[in-house]
Amino acid sequence: MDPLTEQSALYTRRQFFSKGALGLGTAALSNMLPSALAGLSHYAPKAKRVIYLFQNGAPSHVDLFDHKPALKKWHGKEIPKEFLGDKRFSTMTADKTKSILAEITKFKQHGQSGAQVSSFLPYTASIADKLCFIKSMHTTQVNHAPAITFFLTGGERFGRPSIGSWLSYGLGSMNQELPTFVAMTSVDKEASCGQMFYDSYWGSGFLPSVHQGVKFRGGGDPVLYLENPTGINKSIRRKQLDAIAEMNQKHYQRTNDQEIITRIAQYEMAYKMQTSVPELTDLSKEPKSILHMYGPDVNRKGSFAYNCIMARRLAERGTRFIQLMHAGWDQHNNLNHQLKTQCIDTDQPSAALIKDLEMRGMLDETLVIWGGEFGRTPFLQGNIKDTKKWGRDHHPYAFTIWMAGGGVKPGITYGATDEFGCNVTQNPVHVHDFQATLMHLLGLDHEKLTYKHQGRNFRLTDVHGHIIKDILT
Amino acid sequence: MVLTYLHTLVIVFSLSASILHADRIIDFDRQIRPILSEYCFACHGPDANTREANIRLDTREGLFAEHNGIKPVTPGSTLKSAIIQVITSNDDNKIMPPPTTKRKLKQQEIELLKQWITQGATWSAHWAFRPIQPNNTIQFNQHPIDYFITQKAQKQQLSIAPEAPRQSLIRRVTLDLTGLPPTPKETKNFIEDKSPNAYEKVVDRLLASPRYGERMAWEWLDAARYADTDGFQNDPTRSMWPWRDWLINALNNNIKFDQFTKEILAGDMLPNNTKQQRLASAFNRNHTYNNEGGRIPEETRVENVMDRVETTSTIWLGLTVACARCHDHKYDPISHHDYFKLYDIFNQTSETGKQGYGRAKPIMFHTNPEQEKSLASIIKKIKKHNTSNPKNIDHKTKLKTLKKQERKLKRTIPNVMIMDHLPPEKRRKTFILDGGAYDKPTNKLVTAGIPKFLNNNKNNKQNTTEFNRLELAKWLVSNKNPLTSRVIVNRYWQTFFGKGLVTTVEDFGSQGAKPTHPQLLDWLATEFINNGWDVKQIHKTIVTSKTYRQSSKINPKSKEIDPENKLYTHAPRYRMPSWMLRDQALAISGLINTEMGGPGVKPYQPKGIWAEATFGKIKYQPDTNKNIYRRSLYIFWRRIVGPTMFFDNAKRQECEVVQNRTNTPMHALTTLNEPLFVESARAMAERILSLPENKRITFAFQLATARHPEPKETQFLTKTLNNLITEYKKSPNQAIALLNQGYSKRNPKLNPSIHAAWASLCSILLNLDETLTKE
Repeated sequence: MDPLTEQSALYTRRQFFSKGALGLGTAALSNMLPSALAGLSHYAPKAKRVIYLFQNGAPSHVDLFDHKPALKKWHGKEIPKEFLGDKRFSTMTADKTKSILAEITKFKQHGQSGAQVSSFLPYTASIADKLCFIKSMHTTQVNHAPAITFFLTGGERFGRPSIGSWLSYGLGSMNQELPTFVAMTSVDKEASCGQMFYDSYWGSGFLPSVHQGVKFRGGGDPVLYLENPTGINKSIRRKQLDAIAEMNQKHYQRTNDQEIITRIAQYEMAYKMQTSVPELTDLSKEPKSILHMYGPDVNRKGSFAYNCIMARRLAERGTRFIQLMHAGWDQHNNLNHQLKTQCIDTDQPSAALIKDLEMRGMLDETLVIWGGEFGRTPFLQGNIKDTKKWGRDHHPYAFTIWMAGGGVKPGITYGATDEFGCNVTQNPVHVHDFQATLMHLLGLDHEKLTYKHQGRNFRLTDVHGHIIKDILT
Repeated sequence: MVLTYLHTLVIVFSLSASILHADRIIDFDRQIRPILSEYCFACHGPDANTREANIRLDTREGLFAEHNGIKPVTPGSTLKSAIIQVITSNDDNKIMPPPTTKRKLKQQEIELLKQWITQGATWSAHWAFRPIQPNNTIQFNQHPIDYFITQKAQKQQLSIAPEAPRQSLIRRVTLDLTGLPPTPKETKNFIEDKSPNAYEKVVDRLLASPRYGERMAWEWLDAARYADTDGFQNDPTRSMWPWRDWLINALNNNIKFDQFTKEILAGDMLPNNTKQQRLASAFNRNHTYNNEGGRIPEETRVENVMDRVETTSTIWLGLTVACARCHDHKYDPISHHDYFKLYDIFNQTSETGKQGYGRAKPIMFHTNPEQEKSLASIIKKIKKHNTSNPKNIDHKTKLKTLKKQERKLKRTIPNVMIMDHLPPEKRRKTFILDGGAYDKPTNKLVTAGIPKFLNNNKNNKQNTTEFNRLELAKWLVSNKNPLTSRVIVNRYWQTFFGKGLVTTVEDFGSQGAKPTHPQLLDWLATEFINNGWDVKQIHKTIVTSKTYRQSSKINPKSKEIDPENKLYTHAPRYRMPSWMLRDQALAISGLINTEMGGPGVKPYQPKGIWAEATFGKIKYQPDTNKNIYRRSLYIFWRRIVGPTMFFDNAKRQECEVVQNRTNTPMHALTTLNEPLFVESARAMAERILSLPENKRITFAFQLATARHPEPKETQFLTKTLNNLITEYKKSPNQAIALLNQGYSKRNPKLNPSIHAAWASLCSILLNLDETLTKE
């Protein structure tokens, strides 16, 4: 047994045996959410929690962050062969001529750091000094689902635990009334793209399912079956739960099975969630100025803006890993039109979240990440003459993400790419390096946090991953 | 042999005073190999590419021979054993495992290694790879299962518990064999049956019930990663349900396991194969299928072949071969080359990996007799027109119409993806893929075969004629293979006891758990083979043992000595799988619709679940008929977002055989609030209200738990009921609101307040730990 698992077992056992038959205090309650390992980080954490603003479909780095003047000069000309080597591209462009496509946005330098940010992202540009841009990301996956799975679980196929469930397993819960790991999804208004949200993106893989992300839904009950059925009001529900508890206690005395005590606690917790979740999603007490900051979509349930403010509210209430996924970035043939739409959907709320966290003094202990599963080709997909159908294909060899808050240097740019944004030329950061760094910021050694499955000690970063020390505060 | 034994004894005797716990002879396989495997094999194990200093510790030769002046183990001398020197070294450059691995042996583990060496360092092969030991010298004076369980328990001064009360026993065995609770009448009959074979009669009745095949199908569906869609982008629907129905029938007809194996792995290759046998082969097409635009077909195809290799290995061999996809296995003797020998077997099918949208070829048309007839008639007409006058304009138009008709008809017929076998001239060549990557074939050509370490017959077919899927299936169930029977009976044990005798049901390799009762496991494995792979028979053998029939009450002594109940001195009690909870609620309420087979059904689901996962492209349309009340295994399974009322279930994305059992608030919310559970409580109340008042509480309680309530419980439930009646009398509208939910209509003759109060009481009963638990 590895040390953490052992600790976990000890903790649970201690808890079980120290509490008398019906000692149903908070200690017993704590067994029901994954708090077993709480406080067992390997070293002092810089961040307490993570808000991951995942941009499904892969935002175009060359149009948004990685400014390359050469693109304009080479517009319409074929990209020199030496930049491509024997690289693999999707079948959509693999056998086609690869003509450079100039950036479709305008760039300007912003803040004291002078970061280049596209005119499509004015709000992000305004907080550039708070962000750390990593321009040298690269991955090994060229299709969406495998690449997203790779980012979120460390493996390209379904079946591995996602980052949030590793953190839940490694660090436990910080609250008793809300889940430790929450996922929320949103789509661009036109629902233009075909990538879907798979449960595995927030799944627990081979870790116990108590660590899986709880999907908060955009419409209806945010948590499945949260609301009492019509005709069962709160007072009747209370009577029902009291009766169940009483009967279960009697049965515990007959059977001596401690699991019954846990079950009683779980039912009580379910009851608490019925209050705490609606309170969480009630925006009526948010000041107008705050709502305004997140933009016009903030009151539309299931929008990215709504999910962003919900992320802040979850962070305040102790949720450890909040995973937002916004889809619609897959611009194969609608770059001109769709990129702008996507930016409008996400730019203002993302920046608002950073400012909001900062105003509350929470940014220092919250790691915020913004990025997709890969980048987009500096060359064109489509016909250069058919401007309306310009697009860019998948590009795993270089792309940009940004991070902010908990333990990350603000106002810096790390890594660089060649003159076309095609290949990483300086300080490459692989997906596993990113994951190792994330774990480090949360106080976990990515090589030590392991779980034995199918005879092997698995970890998030497989057998890879180096911490990017240069971006740490 | 005798000498070693004596030698060991002498040493143990002479040292016992100085070494703690040295009175026991260390068992290499059970105590030492796991340590070596855990700390050493990763760099000194089967993987030749990462083997450090050319020292390997996973073989007998490697452990005892001298390499470059280093002798890892010298029997009898810890001083002359390099392994002890390095694990106890204070020098960071010498200590093993190296500090960079962040792993360190525990003091207790070091002591064990030392003792083992001092005792003479006897070595034995990994238990699971040794031939099954038939234990045929033992004279059993009781049920063999009880013999082995009792024997071990007695060493701890424990014994198995007395038989469970009859009402518990019948509930347990009915749930285990059919996935449904017994009816009050069945319980009563059993309690009153004084004949000596009363229990056996119940077991025989259950084994013959069509519900048996439905219950036993579940674990197979999980293992077979069965679903009704492809997964990935667009998640297109497929129609593999005829295979699911084949499976249920096969289990109900008690097709012998060796034949079952041949049919699901290679039904299409059996001589004179039938349509049903070809359908069975669809098992190997149940994997996910990536139709994403821009996807390179070969990548999909390779992934699917690998899935088949790994699924087959997990299900029949309990081996984690996936590790060998990229390199030699780090812990078990499965080489990278071995992996591709298996890969070659599954590589010989015509599937291309191109987008298939739920019907990627090869496929078969699963026709019903009527469709069969219409199709045949159209095809006949087409032929006629083709041969009569292909150039005549009239014929051409007619032909066009006929072909259109054919296409139309074929769309209404389920297209089941099945397996085929490429003819010799089209056979694919299998090259080892570097790092398992589809686009990195090496020039190392591999031909089909079983892993070298399992190939104990040098003259078997794989060396002479073609080794293919059918030959693999035959080998899996032959006496040359020590694993299949053990692995399968172990999973059956898990079906009945909630955990395997080998708790890592998916891993029988060196990193897996050791069997708690190795002799029992081998006895069961032998019995299974000797009874002709008769599944119902082996199930009967297990459930008729005293070990199975004992009470689940935990006695304090066994709780203290054996908290995990590894000795089986009481029956297990654990929360039933979520699908079984749903089926149980349907049965108790009387809503259940026991119709079998057919396309997946769509019960209630909260609005927007599919839409939210698919950007509104796919919307869920619940059924508006009694399909809502069909058993759980018939529910349509969308792979990217499975049915919402299940928890802890396999994801159906890859082969899963491990049972997951957690206890979270989400589960409570489901069984309290999910509409079908709510409706079940209301329908259950209706059943109860048809009885005279003084019988109601008892009957309700019996429906839920199969037992009589104690007087105190009756009292308490009556009091609760009266409170609820008062509440609902205060607000009859609430009562009506509760009763009006669900597809089935309430009985309007019942007083709404009384009915609603009973419905909430029934919801309480459906949520009792005792009801949720198999005990």
